Amino acid sequence: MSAGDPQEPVVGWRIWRVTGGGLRATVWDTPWPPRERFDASCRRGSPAYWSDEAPSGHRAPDPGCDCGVYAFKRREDAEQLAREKVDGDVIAVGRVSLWGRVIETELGFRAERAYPYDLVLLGGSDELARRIRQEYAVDVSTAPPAVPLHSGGG
Amino acid sequence: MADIGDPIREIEIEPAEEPVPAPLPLPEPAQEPVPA
Repeated sequence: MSAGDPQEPVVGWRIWRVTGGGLRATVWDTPWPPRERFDASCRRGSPAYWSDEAPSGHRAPDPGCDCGVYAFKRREDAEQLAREKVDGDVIAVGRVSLWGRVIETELGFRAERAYPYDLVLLGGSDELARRIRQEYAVDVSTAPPAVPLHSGGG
Repeated sequence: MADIGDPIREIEIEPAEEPVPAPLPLPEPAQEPVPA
């Protein structure tokens, strides 16, 4: 996928952790509230990511920083990350709409604003899928759990 | 952080309508019984 029409959001692929409260980012554990635009902010320079200290002064994403909502261009890359992150929680792989300031990179995007486009729950129940579908108002389906990359055995 | 490679370009995307669903309507307040 690539960025084209400046009036249309870019669509990339990413993963979320699915908890009883909904979707959360897998790296920073940031909640993605249902039916709300997710706005990126930069916390570089904060003493700790959970601090209430004001974020750094620049708008996210900044070309010289690592901030922003991350997404891949290829589904396979998101699925690979899901296999790295699997630890018993349900993982959602899906497309995400990205807009505002968007930095296109070799393999993906960093964006200012985002909202899920559709989701596949790896290992989630049909009941959980139904609830996430209702709360987030996006298509949600289920699939077998992701297989960890380091599952041991032969 | 996921490895998404080096930046290629920066763009501004301002959709006419943001792809965010409307909030769920608040539930109706429970009707209190009216004395006869």
